[in-house]
Amino acid sequence: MRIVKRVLSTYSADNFGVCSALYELGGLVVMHDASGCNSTYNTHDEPRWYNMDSLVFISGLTEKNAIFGNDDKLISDLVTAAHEFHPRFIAVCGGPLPHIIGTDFRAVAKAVERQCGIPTFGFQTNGMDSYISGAGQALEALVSMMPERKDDTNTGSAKVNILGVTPLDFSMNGSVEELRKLLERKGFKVGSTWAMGDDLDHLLKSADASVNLVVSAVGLRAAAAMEKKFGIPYVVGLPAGKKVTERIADELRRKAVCDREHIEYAAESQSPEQCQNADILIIGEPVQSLAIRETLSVSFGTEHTRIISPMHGLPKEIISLGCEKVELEDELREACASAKHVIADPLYARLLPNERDKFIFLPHVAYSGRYYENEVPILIGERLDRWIESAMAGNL
Amino acid sequence: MEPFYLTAAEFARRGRSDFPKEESPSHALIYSSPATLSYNSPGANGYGVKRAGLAIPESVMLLVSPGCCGRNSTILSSVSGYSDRMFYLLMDETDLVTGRHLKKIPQAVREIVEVPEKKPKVVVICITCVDALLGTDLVRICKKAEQESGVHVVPSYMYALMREGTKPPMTAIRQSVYSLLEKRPKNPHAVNLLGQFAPYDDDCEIYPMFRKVGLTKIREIGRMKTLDEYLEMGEANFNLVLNPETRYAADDLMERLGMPYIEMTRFYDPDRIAKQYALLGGALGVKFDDTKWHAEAEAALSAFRERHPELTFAVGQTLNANPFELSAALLKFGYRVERIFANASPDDLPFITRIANMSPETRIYTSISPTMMLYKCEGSVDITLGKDAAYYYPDAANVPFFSDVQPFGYTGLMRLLREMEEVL
Repeated sequence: MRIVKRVLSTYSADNFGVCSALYELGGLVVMHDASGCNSTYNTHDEPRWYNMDSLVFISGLTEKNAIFGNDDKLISDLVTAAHEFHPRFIAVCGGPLPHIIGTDFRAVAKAVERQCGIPTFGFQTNGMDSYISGAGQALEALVSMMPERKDDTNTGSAKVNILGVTPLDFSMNGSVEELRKLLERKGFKVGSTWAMGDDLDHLLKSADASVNLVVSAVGLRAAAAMEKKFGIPYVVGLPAGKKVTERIADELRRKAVCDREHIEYAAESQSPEQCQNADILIIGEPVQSLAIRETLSVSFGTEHTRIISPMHGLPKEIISLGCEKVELEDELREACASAKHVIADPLYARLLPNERDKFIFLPHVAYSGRYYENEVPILIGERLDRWIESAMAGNL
Repeated sequence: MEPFYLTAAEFARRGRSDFPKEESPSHALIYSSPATLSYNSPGANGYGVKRAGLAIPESVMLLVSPGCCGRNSTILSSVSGYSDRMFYLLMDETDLVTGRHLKKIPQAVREIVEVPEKKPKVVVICITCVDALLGTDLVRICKKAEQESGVHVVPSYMYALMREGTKPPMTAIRQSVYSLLEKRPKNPHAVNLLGQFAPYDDDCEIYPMFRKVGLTKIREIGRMKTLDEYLEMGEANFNLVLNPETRYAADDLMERLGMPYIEMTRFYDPDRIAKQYALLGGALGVKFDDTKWHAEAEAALSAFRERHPELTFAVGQTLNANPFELSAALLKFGYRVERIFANASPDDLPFITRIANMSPETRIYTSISPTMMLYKCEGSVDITLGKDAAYYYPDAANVPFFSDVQPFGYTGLMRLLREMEEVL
């Protein structure tokens, strides 16, 4: 098997995921590494960079400080910046270099918090895992900042938090606003949105929600943490596709008023064996891919659809629903070759340059960065059905 | 709190002995201000290490790195004509701990050479900071890969970790791209222009002036179409270094091939351009006749000043000029320079001192300082030079002046004046 990537990219890294998840919340977020990570994140993975200020910096690790393991410099720089900018919280994460020298970010965070009295988080990222891991850790950490709920404030009206929205998965195309409106049309009160278009105070006060809706794999860890801390149940699923949306709405209502003990996945699991010879292959973010598969199944009668989610750090429960992890370029090429239609980011079409017609482009910022960001479709609610009809007209 | 800046007068007064520590990237956290967002992987504007490494004709690059370092390369190369020249060996955690990835490199090179329809003649291996820490001996690995694959394998280093050392990444890559040159019989009519990865403007006066004094073989890596053409650069009688980051490569060529070099600076002040050509001629024992271009540049400048007698500038650092030299030139032309957004080095002090003499209140902002987030657009600026300056003054006319093909000398100044005229 060939080991070189010739045409494919890599998914946004875990340290970028941390920055993306926390971007709008008024924190000081620092990547600890030499440099380069910052410009890759800012230029490729952060569509808000030019229009919205955020205290995202890089530490500028030097050779000397790396060799001598001089964490004091990092701590001192963080404390200085905290005194200058008075952030709501501080987050520090690493790239590959601190991973090699074994920087203990949790210890760094403790030292910083002790010195400046601002809640500080350290994330053991390494620049090699995917954004799902980093953004997931970041949102999970915010749960620890949420004050204990004084009493059960659940009044029976279904209040829903949306967990797991970052531009990496949802772009800046209005999907998040559409998601909120859709839930309101379905009779839910939308609490907080983790973490786009919302502020930290609102997020920290969202323990009064009756149920959480996890719309991407990024939100799973925060959902689990909130379930543990506040007993808030959660449903995993993206309300995309008319029937999937109805199903998710039903599950949310059910969770809001009863059966609060369980987690619900708004997707049927399919084993990899069932999907091996599927006509349709989806490559992408797992929760979105599951919604597309469900819609293809229940609204368009497609029996089996194969899902490949090639990113590191996928939670086991997602894999168990039938999202395969395939990373080698040759294996992905083989998978694309054996499918009749491939729904994937445009970069994947480079695998089969002579068969571009079989690709249905679904740009994913976490994969191709901002390059196709203006072409990311909104798939919320019935828009997914219309997108499928238009993209696959006559082929289903 | 205000963003960090010094006036030109303060800067000049502090001098080398008290050079502001805020200008050093290792002083504090680094803000990726617009000045650092050059989008410079393969296929975008400007040259970073990866795109620069591909300046060797008929070469491809194998980037060996963790995901976060290489992600941008594949995205941009796919849509900008480099898609068949960039290859990627992704490192995982085990590689970092054990150095296992190094054993994979020869196999990876074999794969690269075997598969493409057009076999590359050179594979440039680019490794990153993690290998700097691991102490990787890439030269040895390249030799092995070369033996196994039968093509040239060139080591290159994207060591951001060493950006403040004697051999920062853009200096190191310049050495790498000339490393295949071999000693050839000297041709007294041959000269190499070293400094950039793309050529200088076709109409640059250097070409006709040099030809007139017998330097008929003027070579630049950006004009070499084939490896054989590139290798002919080995016959140069001397190298002309037009960018200080190439000094290390020129030293290497002097040591390996006995090829001496002369250094020139890119000026936008016609008097300095003239003086520099005179000095170069003196060093070479010839006299360059630059009368025609000097007169044209002066005429273009006079006409521009007549049409635009009063202008206030803000100058960034993402442009084909040293922002301090350019600012000094603009001040000399009689214009105001209100703001400069650039990181200074001690080598810039002579220019800053000139600025201080003409406009002591000009503010020099440190673009990497986190405090730049607090910058508020203030004062009246008519025109910005560099897209980073445009970020801070979005309503002013802007000339990005940031192209791959490089301006130089009198024609460089005339091009700048033309581009400014277009936006005013």
